[in-house]
Amino acid sequence: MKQVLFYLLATGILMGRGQPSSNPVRNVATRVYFTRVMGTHPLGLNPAMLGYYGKPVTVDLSKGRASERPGGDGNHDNTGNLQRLYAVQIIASRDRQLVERTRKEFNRRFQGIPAVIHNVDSIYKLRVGDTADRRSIATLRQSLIAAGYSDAWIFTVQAPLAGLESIPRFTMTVLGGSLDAGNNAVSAQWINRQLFGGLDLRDPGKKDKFLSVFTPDVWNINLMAGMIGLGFTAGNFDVSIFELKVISNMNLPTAILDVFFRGVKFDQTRDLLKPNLDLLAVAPVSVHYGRQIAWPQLTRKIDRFYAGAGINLLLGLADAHLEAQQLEIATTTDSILIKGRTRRVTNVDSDSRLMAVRGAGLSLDLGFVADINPRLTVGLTGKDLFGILMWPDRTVTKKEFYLQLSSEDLDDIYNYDDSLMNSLRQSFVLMDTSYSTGPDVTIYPSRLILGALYRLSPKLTVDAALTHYLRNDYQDGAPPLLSLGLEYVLAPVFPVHIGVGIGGLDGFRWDTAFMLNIGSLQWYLGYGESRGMFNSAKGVNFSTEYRLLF
Amino acid sequence: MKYRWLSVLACAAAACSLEPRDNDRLPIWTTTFEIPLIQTEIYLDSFIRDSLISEYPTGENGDSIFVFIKTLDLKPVAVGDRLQINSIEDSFVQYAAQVTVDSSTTTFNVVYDTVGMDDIGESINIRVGLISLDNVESEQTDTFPFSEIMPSALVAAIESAIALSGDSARVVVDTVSLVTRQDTLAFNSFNSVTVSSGFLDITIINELFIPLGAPVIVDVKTISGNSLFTLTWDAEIPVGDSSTKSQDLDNITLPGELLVEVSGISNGSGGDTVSVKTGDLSSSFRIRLEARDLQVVQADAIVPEQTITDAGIIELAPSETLVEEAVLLSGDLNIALTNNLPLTGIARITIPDLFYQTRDAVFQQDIDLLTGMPTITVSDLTGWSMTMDLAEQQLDYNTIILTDDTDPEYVIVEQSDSVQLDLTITNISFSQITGQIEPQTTIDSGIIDIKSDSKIQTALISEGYMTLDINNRIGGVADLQLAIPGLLRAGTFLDTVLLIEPGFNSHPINLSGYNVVPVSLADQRLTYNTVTVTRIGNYTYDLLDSIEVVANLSELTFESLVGYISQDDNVEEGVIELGQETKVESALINSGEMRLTIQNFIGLEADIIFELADLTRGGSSLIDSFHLSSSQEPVVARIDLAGYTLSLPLDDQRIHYTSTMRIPSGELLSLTLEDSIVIDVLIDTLLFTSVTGIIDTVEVVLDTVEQTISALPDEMSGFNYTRVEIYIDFDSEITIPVFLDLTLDASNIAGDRARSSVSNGNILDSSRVIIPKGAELFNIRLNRLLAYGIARAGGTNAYGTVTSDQTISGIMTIRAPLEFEISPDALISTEPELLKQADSGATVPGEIEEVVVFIRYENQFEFGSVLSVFMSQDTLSFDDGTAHILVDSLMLAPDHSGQDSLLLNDERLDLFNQDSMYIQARIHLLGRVDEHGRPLPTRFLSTDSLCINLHGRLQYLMDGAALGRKVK
Repeated sequence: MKQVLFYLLATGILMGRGQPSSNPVRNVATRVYFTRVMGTHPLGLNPAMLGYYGKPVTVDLSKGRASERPGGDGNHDNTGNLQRLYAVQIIASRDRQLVERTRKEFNRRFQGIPAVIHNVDSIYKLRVGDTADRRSIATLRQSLIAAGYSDAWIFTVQAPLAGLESIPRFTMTVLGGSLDAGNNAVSAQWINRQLFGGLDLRDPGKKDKFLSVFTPDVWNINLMAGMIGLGFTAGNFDVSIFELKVISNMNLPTAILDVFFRGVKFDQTRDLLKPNLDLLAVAPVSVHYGRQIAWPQLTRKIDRFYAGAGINLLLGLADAHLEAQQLEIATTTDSILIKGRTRRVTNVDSDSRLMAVRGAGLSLDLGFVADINPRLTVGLTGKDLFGILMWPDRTVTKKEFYLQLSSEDLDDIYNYDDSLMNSLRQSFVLMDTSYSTGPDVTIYPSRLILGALYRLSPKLTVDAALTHYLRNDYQDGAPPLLSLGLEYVLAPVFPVHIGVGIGGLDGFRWDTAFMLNIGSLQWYLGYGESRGMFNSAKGVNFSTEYRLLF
Repeated sequence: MKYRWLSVLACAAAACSLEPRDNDRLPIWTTTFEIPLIQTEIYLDSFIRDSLISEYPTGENGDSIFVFIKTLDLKPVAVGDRLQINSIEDSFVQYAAQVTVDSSTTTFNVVYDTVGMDDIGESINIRVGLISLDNVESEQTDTFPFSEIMPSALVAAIESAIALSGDSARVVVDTVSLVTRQDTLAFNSFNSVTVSSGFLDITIINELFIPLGAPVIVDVKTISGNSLFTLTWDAEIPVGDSSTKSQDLDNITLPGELLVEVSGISNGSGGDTVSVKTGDLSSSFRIRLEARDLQVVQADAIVPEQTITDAGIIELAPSETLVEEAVLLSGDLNIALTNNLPLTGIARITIPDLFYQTRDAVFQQDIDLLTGMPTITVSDLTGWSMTMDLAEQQLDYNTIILTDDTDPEYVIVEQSDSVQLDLTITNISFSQITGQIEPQTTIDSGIIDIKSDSKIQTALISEGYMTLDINNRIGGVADLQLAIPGLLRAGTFLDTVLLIEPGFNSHPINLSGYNVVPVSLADQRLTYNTVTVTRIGNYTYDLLDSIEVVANLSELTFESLVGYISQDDNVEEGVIELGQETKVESALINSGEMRLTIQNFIGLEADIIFELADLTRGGSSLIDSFHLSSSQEPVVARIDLAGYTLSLPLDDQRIHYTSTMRIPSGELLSLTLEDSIVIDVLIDTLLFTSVTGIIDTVEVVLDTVEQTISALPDEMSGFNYTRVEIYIDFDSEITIPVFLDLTLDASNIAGDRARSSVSNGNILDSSRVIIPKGAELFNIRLNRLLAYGIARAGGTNAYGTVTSDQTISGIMTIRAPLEFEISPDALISTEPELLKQADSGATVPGEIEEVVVFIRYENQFEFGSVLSVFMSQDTLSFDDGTAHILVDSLMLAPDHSGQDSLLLNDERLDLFNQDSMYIQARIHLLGRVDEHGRPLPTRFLSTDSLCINLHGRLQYLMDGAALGRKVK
């Protein structure tokens, strides 16, 4: 199994692709307990979730001012411009076990209705329900009385019952890493059965089958890797001090493989279809802040509303863009023809250190979350909006060459010495130009995420998200990604998650994850695949994180 | 909890189970690379180094061929002096006299008398017939009021009722008989007409306030009260309506004024009550009359325009002349018209058989029709044509009379009234006629001149003709009788009848055997008489034309004559045929003479003057004269020709002579014109200093030439020259043709011999004489060449000048284009060559499984090859057939572009990895062949090349395991 995991990780690093993973800490800082590496969780990246802490900020548009005031009470009441939540207390006892048994019984009989035991002055009070609608809670009370909870009575709460119970106020991420790597052709199954299958491709049809996976014009290999060294959340704040992100996108013409395996035939020009490579390495430093907004105008429509924002300082490490604008190879019965035109833009040269800050930039994170009711929550997230990177200097190298060797040339080349060969090579280069561009700007990848979360029961949550990738200089354009996920929390110590997505960069992907909560230690491990499942998948996603909760 | 862990781990394990990398399980495949190898162009000149071989253009698209060239000199040889003409003999006869009559022509014409016909005429009475009148305008009676036609009691009763009631009354009108009423009515267009056919329409118009009838009776009467006819209406005529009835007027004389009487019954109001006012009592009815379609036999009326037509014929008087169509030379058409009608108008006379020039322009004459007086017109018919049937000699005519409308005058006219027409044609003669004319006879006579310097009393004609060319321009057929009293044979003079057809006639009359007897010695003429008689028949005659007779008397020759001979000296011109092969245009005679032997058989003394104009000296021709006695003994005369120059046309190799004989004149002689003088001519052998012209053959013996030649290199065994040109370029001072008889004798060391000869090669037409069968001489691999023969200057049709000091020299050239016939077994084998040393260490990589070398070639050479390459470690294996085959029969087709391939598989590639390998190439040459497979000449053209493009398909084994180990 160790070997399997090792190859899983290694292959993922080598061949996988993905997108910048979310910071698990931020997810933990919200009421969601773990990170969805696939991005299928709608709220995991939303800084508005930081607003679950602290007092709500009241915004009265009619008066044009905002203030911090404690929540109020009422019949779906916004009296005093406070957003109030109502619950029903069905039992109050000093006997905790009694109260616990009552809650279990309640949960068994009334699934989906939050039930929280409050210890107030050593009196355990079981409160259920969690709504801002005064009439709804009254109805609930009558139902509960009819169900035998004769002492049920209504009281006012300031925060959702389920959240307040288990959200830690302070967390610290010790170490985390993510990898999303993939390609559009090769799967593990192909590697096992074809590449290392001991095949003799000289048999009829085997070569075609071997190469059939490379049906598109280009072999696309993408890699997104991330690492976090230190980060923490405290109340409404989230700070990430050390992160590293690498984004790589490479397109190789499949004609290269065709040439390698099938060879070159006369008068069949092999157009290598403009291979290109885009590479970015950055080290973001981020600060986020979120608050609950009490919005009287929305009181009758939603239970709670949160907003958050953050800024990311992007420290640029490496930026490279390589492309061959033209690359053709052909042979005829009397000559060999190779012609091409390449362009390279980079700020890294072979003489400098690999890890060095060569540029800087900024991006913004914005988020809004609304608890429509105790079961439904929606949110909108803008991640790395307006992200740009400024590079003080980059070097552009352009080359154009045209190589044509006739039969006479080939006959003579056997007699060439080194100087003649050098002269010959130089004669084929039509242009070789390098120049400095000076200060330059590139667009950093950013996303817009529209998501929703619906709690089917206290243990099972369904979430959905629509993610749109904005145009940038490092990733190919992709359609929006629609993702769906299920979160099952049989016990807080081991919640699991599974999700699927269609669209986006990969077309299809799935993931699963679990979280292990042992005391103050929390370990998260997620794994997913794209463009297929299991051995037929052409990409893997891996994410892990170790945190401490306080 | 435990199960949850297991499920997650199982999921992760199943998610992506990459197996451990095992390089030994990497795939194995072959990759094929198609790459160019060599492209080169090979010319033959890189292989040919012989200095005797050079390039020579072929004249085909700028090509040039490799040629083996060798030259030999032929020393100058003198022509010699052999110009002469052998002896020539000839003889001729000169007659005593030659009397002839020159040709002459006499022309006369024959014309016919005038052809015409008697006067013809016709008188016709044209009646007017039934007279058509216009429809008569309607006339109507006065009204018949209610108050007048009804019984007064009824009228009074109604009036009373009206009066009692005021303005109107409602009454019932009873049935009553109408009160009979009359009224007169007059027609304006006639006073009286006797109707042959026609109708009178009578209409009753009821304007009463009650219906009219029934019945209603209308009785039409004359003014005097005589009833003409009665019409009855049996049905009521409603209020405001009308009713019409027609009366047939046949054979009724209708007066212009009538009396109309009305009677009948009124049914009143039919029992109904009607409202009546006072005015209704004045209501009435009317009667209207209208005559139509009137054809009358007599009328006193306004007569409208009448058309009277008539037609008839005018018969020609009986005659021998029958006309089918004729053009009148003269003729007068007289038309007399007498109008007996009370009407005026115009008469149009048309004669369709009489036309002017075209059928459309027929004769038509309009004549005014005046009342009671005749009108006479005369038309000149000169130039008019008439046409008719031969069986019915008559002219058709028709007449149309159109009378004027008499309105407003009334005239009395009857159907028997008429117009008198008289037609006559007088003074008829024809200028041209188709048909038959009356017989014509024409008599003529004249003189034919005898044109001669001599005066003939009588002479017997040996040869001569009189030809009568008769051009019959009149037409028709006639007989011409010709009589010439001055031409006698067997006691009768020439009298013959000649048939004359229309057009041109020619009648030759042979006069041989006739004696010419002119009128007298002083009047050297002949008289003639002719009678021309026409034949009966249907023809076309141009009577104004003539028959032209031209009598052509040809030149007359005579056998004998009596008369005075008047002529110049009797000159005999003739020629002496040279009869030599040499055709002389100009020749200076070195020596020779002419000898004449003359005998006189005319019995008279005569002088002979003999002249040769073609022989001149000092610009004067050769002339000599002799006198002959009346004796018949031969006389011999000699003329020395040395120093004379003979000049003749090349196409007429005859020496022209003129022999003039003079005899006495002024006496009446009787001669037989065949008496003569005989002259024999002998020209002895002529020797010339020089001759210009077409010279007979002069032979020159050429010096023998011997030369050692190596025709082909030893390496070229198996190649047979197909075209070896051996020719001699002569340099001759002789301007006449020189014919060469030359033999080339070739031999080689082995004793093989070949010979080729040229006969009659003309070096004047072409200074180059080509020796045939050069290829045979060369293809024995000759080492020695011997040339000998003669040159013959002159010959048939060779023009030029020959002198004794002229010489002939030449250069013989041997030119052998590298053009061979290559036999099917032609083979070139190279010496075995060591390809690889044992210690070289060079190997072919084992990963190269197979190499296919494609050879695309454009072989412009006319020969191809089949290349085989053998490899072996032992050179003896090449001979015993055990050597390995590297290249097996790679074919390069001649003059062809193509592609072939060479497969170097593992086995063959391994040959290169063996030690001390020898290689030998065997090339089977392929020459051109025809469709039957027979060899054709194959040329080595310098401009041809062999373009070879070698490209290969290399199959390389890619062993993934091995590659993995290398990477590792």
